[in-house]
Amino acid sequence: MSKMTLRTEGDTHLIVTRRFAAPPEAVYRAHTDPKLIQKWLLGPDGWTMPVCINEAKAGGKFRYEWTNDKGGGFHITGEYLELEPYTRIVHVERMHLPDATPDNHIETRFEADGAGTLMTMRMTLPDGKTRAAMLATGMERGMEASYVRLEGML
Amino acid sequence: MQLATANGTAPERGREHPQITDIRPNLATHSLDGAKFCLTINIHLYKLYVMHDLDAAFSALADPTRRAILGRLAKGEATVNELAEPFEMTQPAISQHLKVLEDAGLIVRRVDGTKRPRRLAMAGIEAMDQWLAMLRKALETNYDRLDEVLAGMEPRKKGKER
Repeated sequence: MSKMTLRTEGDTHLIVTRRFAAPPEAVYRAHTDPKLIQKWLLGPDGWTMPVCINEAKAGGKFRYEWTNDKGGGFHITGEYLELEPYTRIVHVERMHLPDATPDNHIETRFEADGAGTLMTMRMTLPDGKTRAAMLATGMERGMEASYVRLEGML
Repeated sequence: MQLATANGTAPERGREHPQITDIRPNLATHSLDGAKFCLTINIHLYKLYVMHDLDAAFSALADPTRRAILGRLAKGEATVNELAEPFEMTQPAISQHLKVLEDAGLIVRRVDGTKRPRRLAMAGIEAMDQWLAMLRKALETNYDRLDEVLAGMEPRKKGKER
């Protein structure tokens, strides 16, 4: 698989691309089916997602709770704004640390790319400061890795 | 490290960085029950302390001229005249760019007689690099795992839509 790219755009956008060796339908399902989400949206080893509530419809809510084997934990809540099977998901989410971070608006697109899929995730933060905060917390999709790294830095 | 910035949005002029005192009150509002959770909160606060500089740094990098200046400085210290030369810009214009980079903590100046040569501030560059690297690592870990999930999924048959 080609490597993931991550770039900033302007003051408030963060864009991630990644190719997958599966058709858009499968990648879309892996992003919306709780049983599948719980298998990969976990960050580093040692973390699990015991609670994965995911109402994949426009206006539907989701709640992901993570915990690690040392008793640590936090959660993300969000709402779906638009769902276009199997090409596009628009949602907002915030991380609870336990205080809620500002909303992160995320549009995820799945395009057929040969036999696979090109995923483009565009995150929009209210302002540059929030984006910087998000980069700092690594909150998007597996923030736990940043904690592990930081343990060695502190 | 990839740090492309697509559209050259100019950063706000004269924007004040949040002061440390703006962040400190958060210390009290987080409940610190249990040593295990303390670590998470402490790390979060630590990141808040650092992030105000990152914000300015990312804005500073949104301009192609400033990225080029950083590219030049990556090769070594340079005076304002030396920096202005390849850009066909006036010295005041270059000086303004240098001020933005300086305010963002990306470059520092040295006094050398009447000259003020600039060089990269490695601390600022490295801090940004580290945060982006951490986010990248977190995402890559998840997507590598997703590759395996996708490999194990049965192709859905037509007519079996939920």
